[in-house]
Amino acid sequence: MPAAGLLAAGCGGNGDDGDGFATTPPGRLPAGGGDDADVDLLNGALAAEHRLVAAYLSGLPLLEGRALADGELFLSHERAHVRRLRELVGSAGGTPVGPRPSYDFGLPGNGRDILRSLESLEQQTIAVYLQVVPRVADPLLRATIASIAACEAEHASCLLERLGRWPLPTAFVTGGS
Amino acid sequence: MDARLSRRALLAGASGGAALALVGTGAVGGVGIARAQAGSDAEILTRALTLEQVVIASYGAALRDGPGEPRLHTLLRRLRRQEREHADVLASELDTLGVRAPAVPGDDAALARARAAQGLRHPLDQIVTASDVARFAVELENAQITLYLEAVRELGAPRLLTLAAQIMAAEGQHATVLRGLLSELPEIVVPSPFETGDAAIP
Repeated sequence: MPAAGLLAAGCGGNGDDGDGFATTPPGRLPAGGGDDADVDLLNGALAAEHRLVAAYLSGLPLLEGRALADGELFLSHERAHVRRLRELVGSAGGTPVGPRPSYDFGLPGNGRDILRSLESLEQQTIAVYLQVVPRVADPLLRATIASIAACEAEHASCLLERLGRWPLPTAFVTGGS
Repeated sequence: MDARLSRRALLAGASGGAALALVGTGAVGGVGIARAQAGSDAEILTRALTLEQVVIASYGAALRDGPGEPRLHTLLRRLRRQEREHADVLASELDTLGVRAPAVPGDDAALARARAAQGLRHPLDQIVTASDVARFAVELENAQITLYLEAVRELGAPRLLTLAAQIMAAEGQHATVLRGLLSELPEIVVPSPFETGDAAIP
């Protein structure tokens, strides 16, 4: 796959049929405090997950060996997160945001660039979830969000290891926020 | 008025003892509810710190009694150091709430009792090989993930919710690295899209 394809990585294949634009960009979340606020927070997380799905879809063709096996598994996890978040938004009476038509992931030239980009995106997504946790009113919802954040942290650890870096950089995972 | 700020002010004004005494008394009104939540938060933090101390002591036992492989030792020391960082922050939060930190297991017998109380089953005298140590450690990390997941459900103070989620994610990373010692299969290393601490030990 040409690296230039990553400039406009579509996010198809995940069953979404939204208008393609997240109303709440990843990293910018509304205040919490009730069911409606929970929907907005969940949609913010969902937008971040759509971006990760797109990143893995775009990056997989440049990965090989164990990194590719990791990437394929992690993509399946991100899709599971998308499904769960869509269910949660729907059951709360909201409308799940869909993926954007394209995402700008720069111009990675090789698998190592892809791993760096994916690790960075995982960290950004962790930061989004950690912003969501204290704002969500429903305790069970908070637990789901925390369990997803921990999974993203595990992905980040594996990606760091593939990059030859120490996989446990800090005692408190913040996503760099 | 900012509800979070007013709650912090209430917490700052409540002594830990008073807060704990109000738990379960059915106190009504904003002040009573806030103090009861502070007491509940203190109980949860105490549970978390108790387990962190057991984990720290368990890693110490593994370093002392386990195989002397340098790379494994480096990992175990790093894990223990991060657990100590967790323990230090939890103790500081408890101190803020006016609650004394729980006692640290003082010897192997106390550690064995504390491990049993936490439901940890891997025997201390069966950490002979690197795989033994990895399984022993995954059990520790799983127990912590489970506890912090409960904390995320039950804690009231927003900053403590964030802290619990941050530590839970770190424990998830620990478990991942340890599972990586036992298998190269990614579905073993990161077994679920939802980390809940109940993944089977490889």
